[in-house]
Amino acid sequence: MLLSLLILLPLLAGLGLTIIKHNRTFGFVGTAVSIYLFLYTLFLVFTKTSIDLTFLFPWFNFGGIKTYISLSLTGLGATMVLLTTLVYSVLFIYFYTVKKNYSNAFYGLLLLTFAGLNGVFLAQDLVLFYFFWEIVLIPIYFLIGIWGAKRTRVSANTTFFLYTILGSMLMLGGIIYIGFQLRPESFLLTDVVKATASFGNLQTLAWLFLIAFAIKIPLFPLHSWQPTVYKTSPTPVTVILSALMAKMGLFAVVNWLLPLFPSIHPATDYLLYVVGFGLLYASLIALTTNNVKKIIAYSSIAHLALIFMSLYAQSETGNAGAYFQMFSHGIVVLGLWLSVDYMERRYHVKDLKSIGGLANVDPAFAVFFTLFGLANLALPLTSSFIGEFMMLNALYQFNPILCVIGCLGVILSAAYTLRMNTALLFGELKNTKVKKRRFPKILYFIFGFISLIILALGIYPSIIFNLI
Amino acid sequence: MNIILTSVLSGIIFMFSGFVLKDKRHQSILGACLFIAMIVAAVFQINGCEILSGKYPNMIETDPYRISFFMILCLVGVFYLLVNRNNFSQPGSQVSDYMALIFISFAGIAVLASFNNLLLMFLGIEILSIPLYALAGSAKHKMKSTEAAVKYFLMGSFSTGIMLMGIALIYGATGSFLMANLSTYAFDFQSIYYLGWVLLLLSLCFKVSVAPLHFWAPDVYDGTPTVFSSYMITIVKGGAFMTFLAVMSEFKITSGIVADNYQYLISFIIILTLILGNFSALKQSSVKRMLAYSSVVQAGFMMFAFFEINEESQNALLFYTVSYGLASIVLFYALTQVENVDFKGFNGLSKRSPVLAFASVVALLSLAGIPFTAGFLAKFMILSSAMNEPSNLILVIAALVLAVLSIYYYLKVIVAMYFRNSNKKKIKLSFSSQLFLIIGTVLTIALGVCPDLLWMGLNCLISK
Repeated sequence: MLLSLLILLPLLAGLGLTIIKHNRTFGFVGTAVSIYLFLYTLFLVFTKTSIDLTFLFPWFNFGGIKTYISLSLTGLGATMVLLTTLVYSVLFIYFYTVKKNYSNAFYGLLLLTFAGLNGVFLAQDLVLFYFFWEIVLIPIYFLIGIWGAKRTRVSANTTFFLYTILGSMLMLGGIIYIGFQLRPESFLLTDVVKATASFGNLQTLAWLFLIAFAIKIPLFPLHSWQPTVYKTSPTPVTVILSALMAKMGLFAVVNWLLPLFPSIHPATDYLLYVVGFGLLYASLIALTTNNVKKIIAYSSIAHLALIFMSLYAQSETGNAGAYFQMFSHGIVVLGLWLSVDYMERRYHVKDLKSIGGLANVDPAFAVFFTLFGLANLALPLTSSFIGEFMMLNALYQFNPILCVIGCLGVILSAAYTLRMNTALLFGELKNTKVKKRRFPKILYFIFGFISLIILALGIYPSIIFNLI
Repeated sequence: MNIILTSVLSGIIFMFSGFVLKDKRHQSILGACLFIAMIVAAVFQINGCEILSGKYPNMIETDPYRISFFMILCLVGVFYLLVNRNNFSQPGSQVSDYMALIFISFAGIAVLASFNNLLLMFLGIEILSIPLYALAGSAKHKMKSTEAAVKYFLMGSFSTGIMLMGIALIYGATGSFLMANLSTYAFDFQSIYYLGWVLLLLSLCFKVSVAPLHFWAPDVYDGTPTVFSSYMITIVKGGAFMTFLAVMSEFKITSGIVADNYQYLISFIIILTLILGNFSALKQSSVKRMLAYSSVVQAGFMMFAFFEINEESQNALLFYTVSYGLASIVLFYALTQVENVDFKGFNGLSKRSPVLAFASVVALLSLAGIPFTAGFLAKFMILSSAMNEPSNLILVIAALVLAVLSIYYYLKVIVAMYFRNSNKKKIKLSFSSQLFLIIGTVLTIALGVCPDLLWMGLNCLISK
């Protein structure tokens, strides 16, 4: 019962805000809900035993296969819920204080997405998981369609929706096959694992699930929807897409794909080479493009590809590193996107050429942005270093070539991140209209908080490792 | 017998109701009451209180599944009449006549819910169809409506001919019209029997509008006045599917030429329907025509219940009919409220009438099969019931991938409603219309979260 609050509270608050018609905005409801849930999750994770953190309730039953409303806040799921509530809290505080002209429906839809994301990370029943996996898309679809950039919002949004739905449909085919051909006792994770374990060759099924998850992460060559969508979306949605929804895909790989189909696929090596190629490819694009949003989007593709590769290495270090990095990447991109939003709002920065020398005008911001950049390139003492180091270590033992690819990715990531930072912060001030302005106090608090988490995890990573 | 008598009586009542009820909106209230009376009659029948029970054992029977299907169709009918309360005067002024036609065709469904003899099935199908030909042409001053009526009538008669031929051939091989004897045929007449079976199958395909005999459907649904196409697309189609499934389940043959080809034929019909329906719907510029094609696609999905006819697939078909009915009735109601039925007519509907736009979105998502709507569980159940053989996975995946196409054209409506602006004036809906739309939406979501509600409701009525 404790756990259903994580889904029901944002769901009800979100529905309320979406439906309500009022000129005043009630964004504070969203802020309150997300901060409360963040503290609530912290409380649950650190004080309760694992028996309290599961929830099981019979749902419906078709053709003799039962389904349950089964939730569990343990392991990676707990970390991800923590990340979700944390990102939402920061996001709501930032947008509620910086810009107030979003309508109630906007906050409502954000909260509905919140409920869906928590559901994905908590669900332990395959059908329930599919429910949440799909429903997350709907509010996102409306958020991009109504508040996205005018020129591309319809086309980018439709591509995004159809792309992800295509993946989900393949997965649905897989779920139906598992349910009604393998006939497990129920759709609970444990029962489904038992059923797939007793059957031998299920490679086709594994591919169906993999494609669905790869589209969401996104992995090369299924990533083509991502950069335009990140560019089109309003920033809060971009943050959710890159910090949280991409993690849905990785989480699903950990929680569903690998347990269900544990035998190493004969084509795994080739798959990982393709993903590795995608990593380098995305990094190179990030190195050449001038659009700030695109740089971060492609950098995200590269980082997530590395996490995926190390998950497939299936070693203890690799997994721990990957889990850690999933959390850390969420925090780092949160910082980066909020910085981009700040720059766009205040200095109208769109690409690297439009401005330079921001450090002279806004030194406080420059410090924070540099710190986020350094975290993005995995400098020691930042949280990303811990994760990347462990992942590369595991990859070396699994397949040295992949490790080399990963290392190249890290080097390239240093190159493009530093290129972005120098172009924006240092050098001549190109746009002379920009006046010296004070860095808002509330942002000291928000950016400081994000930096604190990045540094704290970089110095004392056991906080997360104990959770997993 | 109860349900046949009640529904025929309802038709007769409406022939004369115009003299008594002057306010046209009261006609549909009366209709809703009569539907509820039919449900009561059905409940009595299924619990053993039947008028003239056992008098015609070779003609009618009480089949619990078909009676529950009938009750569900009555409920959908109640929803249909209440939502469309104000729309029946749109095609013309003779509301009570239209009502009479609707209820007489519903009597056909009552016959189809009780037959155990091919001849009575034929009679039921004819009673169901003939009033529809008249309804299709009810907007007499509109060319499209007349065209629809003529097309429907000609094609319908043609398919009737095919059906009679099929029944005759089957009679030749089995020597009986009784459903129970359908599976025992004289071995020397195998080829005749097979041909008869195929002809019967094809003519029923016509009635449920699946390929290769779906060509009439878009023109007819498009030309018919919107209120009546809503009826044809939901309730009539449901009744036809109920018949189709009942007939096909009697051909329980484990070996022989029918059994050998059954799976292939059904797969062929499904794939052809889905491909033709989806690709044609993609190209439409009118929402009404798009929905007409999409009804062909949905019928293609409903055909998945035919792979293995057992309790699961029967329940899945029932659930699909309900979810599809709820969604379509809402969408066709929206069609009657916008000025033109093009995609442009839906522009900015979210501002012009938020409730209608929201109800339409939920309905579209339900048709698209997105979770938390009844449409998803309907698709899930019906595809699951088809998984009797591993090789069907390919078909299931093909259907799901083609469903992505259908999502594309449903999204076009959502895009028009929410992401485009229009300066047309607001649409004013009466309080009760909004209420019924919201009830429909809530039902769609409730069934999508808790499908057991439907079975619980049915089990309450069948208290045996």
